[in-house]
Amino acid sequence: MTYKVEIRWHGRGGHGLVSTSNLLCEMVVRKGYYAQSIPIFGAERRGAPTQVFTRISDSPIRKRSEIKNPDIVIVTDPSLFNIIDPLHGLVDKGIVIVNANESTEISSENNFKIIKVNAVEISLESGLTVGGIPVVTIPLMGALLKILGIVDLKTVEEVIRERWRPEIAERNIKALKMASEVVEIG
Amino acid sequence: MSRTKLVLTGNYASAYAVLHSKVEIVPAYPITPQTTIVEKIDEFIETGMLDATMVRVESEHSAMAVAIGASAVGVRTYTATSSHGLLYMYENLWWAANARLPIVATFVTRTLGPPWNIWSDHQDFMTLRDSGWILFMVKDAQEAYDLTIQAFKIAENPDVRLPVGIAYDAFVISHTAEPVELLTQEEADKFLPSPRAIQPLLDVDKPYSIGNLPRADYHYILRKNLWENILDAKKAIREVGREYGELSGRDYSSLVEEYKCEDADTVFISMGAMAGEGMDAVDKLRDKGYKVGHLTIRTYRPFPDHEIKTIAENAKRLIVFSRALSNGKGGILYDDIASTLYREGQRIETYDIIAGLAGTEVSEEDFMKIYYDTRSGKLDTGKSIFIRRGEYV
Amino acid sequence: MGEVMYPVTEPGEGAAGKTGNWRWQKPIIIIDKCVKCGLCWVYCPEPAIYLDKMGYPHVNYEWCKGCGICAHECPSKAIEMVSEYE
Ligand code: SF4
Ligand code: SF4
Repeated sequence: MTYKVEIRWHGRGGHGLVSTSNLLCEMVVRKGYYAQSIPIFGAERRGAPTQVFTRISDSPIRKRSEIKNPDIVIVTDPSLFNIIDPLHGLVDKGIVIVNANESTEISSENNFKIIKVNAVEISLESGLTVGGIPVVTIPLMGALLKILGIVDLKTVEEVIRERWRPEIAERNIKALKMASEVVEIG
Repeated sequence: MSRTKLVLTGNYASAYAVLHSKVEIVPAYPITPQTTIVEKIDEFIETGMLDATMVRVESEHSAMAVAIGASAVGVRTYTATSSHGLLYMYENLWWAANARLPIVATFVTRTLGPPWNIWSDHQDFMTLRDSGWILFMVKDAQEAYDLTIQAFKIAENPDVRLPVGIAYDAFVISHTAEPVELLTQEEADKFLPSPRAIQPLLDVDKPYSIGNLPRADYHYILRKNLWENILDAKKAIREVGREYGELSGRDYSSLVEEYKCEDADTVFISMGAMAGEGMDAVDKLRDKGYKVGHLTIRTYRPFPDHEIKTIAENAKRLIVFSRALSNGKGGILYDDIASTLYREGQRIETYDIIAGLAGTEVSEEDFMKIYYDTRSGKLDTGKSIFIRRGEYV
Repeated sequence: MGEVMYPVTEPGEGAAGKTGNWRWQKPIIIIDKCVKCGLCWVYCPEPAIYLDKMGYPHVNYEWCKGCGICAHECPSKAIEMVSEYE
């Protein structure tokens, strides 16, 4: 069986989508997978809608076109639903991980599995902020890692600790752990 | 020390190759999407990992001028640019080749304006076609790393002594992160000894001037000499590629990369980022029983005439994807291939497909659609066919 | 493989031979006026001016083209251009 997952991240300029997607790739590559993180560059400015694509596979990845039919979509800001359709092309029974609290309505006529992660709250609680702004992509990645189930916690921690100094690394790890608890596999 | 596998963008992969090649001077001017290459190199220098001088110049023209001076006195020299920066550097790019200087440069291909556009096509790169630079185009970050290290060895070969350019597509390679296996520094040192071994062109103890006005008859011979040397460089490219393959396990002894061509009646030919899509299309078409292959042109100059000829001996249809256009003529890569076939006396069906201009995406579906339409006779041979995101325009 | 040829020239006689016979006027240095600033030596494009041990300039007429740049640059008007035909 070949393993192949395509993920599309929707966010806004400044959310750190690119670095989080790259971080994810580093983790899965360490587990022996192939991965690819493609940023879509346009007229970037802080706050403008942006996209990043992540491909994960157990065989080398040759294509580098945009992901049109993702298996998983990640949305860092629920207000994006008002201006674009982050779910376009999502496969049947596809997964949506969205930064939202329980009361936020996310309607979808399809049989998508919608996972709400209160990433703002998790980031604040873990002390994971940059210039006072919560880093929402890390908790969302925590949920994603749980769903993927291909990277063990030890590897996650190893990669995080290589990247950040201890104090910051612990905050990232805490946020990742908290987020993964939100997700129920089933 | 064991090898490391890092997740790197194409640009960072180039920077690591520069680090491992122990480049001594990097004159550069920033331009998107090349900038992160030199930023990373600067970081290597600042943190003491690389003992090199970064020369901050006021333009790309000056960047290549400094590179010319540095290379002429025997220093291993690297620079990088893109698009309008490449055109601004243009005069000195030719100068570097005619002066036979082993400079290595990365060209991140990007559409020329106006209107302004930061995405990839190959129009900027193709202006170097006739310049005397040895030109590679790579299709992923691993190749960017591998070929940059090889480039120094090829350029500095005493029988070659020509500048070498490594090109790749903006963003889809330059900014896409993917796993890249790096050599250890010891392996790189063994493959490419430092400092540069070949004699400098300039020597304070034995003064020369470069580029003085010669007699025209002598100048003609210089031009023919460069032409002979760049054709002979195929041998050096293959040898260096084989040696690198023995070291790394990744073989570069061919100027091209063949994918399922042996029994193919139809072969796609492309270069750069879109090659991956082409190969995926081949797999899909093979699943349906079609005998299709893909040929990636990795060495663009010197041109792989022999390899094209061999492919054309077995195939009956070549579909060439050009990401750059000779205005008033046709697809540039197509014309290269058509002329090879004509010189070899091979008359087979060929298609000139213009795809991916201005950074538009070329997908696996485009390759498949073109394949079906050539089979059904919907497309004319030898006529430039423009396809944009699956639609003929 | 063929040898590599370079577009370089060693110093020596140019393709056009000695350039002294191009001259229709010649510079004469009036040593009394000379302050040994060396500007003529710097500016001579040929270069046909050399400085002696004392620092005084002299012209090598085999190569001097008679362009007059030295006379123009001399701050103490110590170089005079004199016609070759008088
Ligand atoms: S006349 Fe011209 S060439 Fe002759 S010495 Fe003066 S500057 Fe030199
Ligand atoms: S420029 Fe005039 S003053 Fe100066 S060294 Fe020459 S002749 Fe003498």
